[in-house]
Amino acid sequence: MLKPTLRQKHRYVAFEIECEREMGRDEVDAEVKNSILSLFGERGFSLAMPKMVIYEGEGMGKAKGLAVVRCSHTEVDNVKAALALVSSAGPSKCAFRVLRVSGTIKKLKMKLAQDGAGEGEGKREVLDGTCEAKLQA
Amino acid sequence: MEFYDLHVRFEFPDFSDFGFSKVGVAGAGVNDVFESNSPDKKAQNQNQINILVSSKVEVLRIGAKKFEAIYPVGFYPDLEMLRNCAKSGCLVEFPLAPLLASSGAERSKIINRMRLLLSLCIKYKAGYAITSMAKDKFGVRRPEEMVAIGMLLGLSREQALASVSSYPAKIFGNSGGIKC
Repeated sequence: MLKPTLRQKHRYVAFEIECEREMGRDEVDAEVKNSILSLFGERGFSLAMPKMVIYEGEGMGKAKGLAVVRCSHTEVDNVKAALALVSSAGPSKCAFRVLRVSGTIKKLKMKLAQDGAGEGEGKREVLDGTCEAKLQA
Repeated sequence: MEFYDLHVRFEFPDFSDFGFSKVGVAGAGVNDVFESNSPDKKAQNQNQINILVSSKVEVLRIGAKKFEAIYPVGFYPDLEMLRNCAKSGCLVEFPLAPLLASSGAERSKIINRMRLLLSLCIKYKAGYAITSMAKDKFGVRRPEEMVAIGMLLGLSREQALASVSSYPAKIFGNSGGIKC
């Protein structure tokens, strides 16, 4: 086990998924990784080391989801650029829009909940990351 | 800080959902080609932003003196055009739409040309703006992502922020409106 000062530091990037159809977790994961791979190559991918940690979108009934990707803290801007350049998933158009970045999942959920509460009705409220999200009417 | 998208090609109820304070909505239909063979401004309206879209260098050189912003299709690096932009305060537009529509080697070439033109804009002190030029909601990106793409194109963080905030703000401030 590495000392805390030596371990790799991560950042958690929360992004909203908007698509013409519902996208599965594996599909979103593949799109993110392919985007980073095609934009920055294998070296860039190895520096970023993206990993999907949270996905909320299946069974929501609407073609919109929320996901969190973990990446290296030095490559956050590159990962954001790669997410922004995803424009389609197969034949369907889609868009990934970054909402928040944080160093811990707990803080990220707090910030997202604050953003959702602050913007009022019609916005998503992330509760506890266990595949439960409420769309306020 | 307020963020602006200078060039969007569809109507949407509330662009502030995407994080923008003001957005320039193109008046023509989404399938129209804005190719211009003439540098003359048509129907000048004080409440409009006029953006010249052209692939012809001669047209862009003259248009840089007359229009609020220009979009050089193909991102050809013409120094006289940039000098004219620097003198008149015209912005050079860098839309994300060509990047989103391409992939692989073609996307790499576009990034390369955008990077070169952007570096020349900074060198010759011409203003620049990163826009989405989106035809639908799937083409719109939030300001943070546009900043990240600006950094991908070689800008520093401050320069990338300026491309979506302070530079377009001058255009919106002067026009008094959001139609283009």
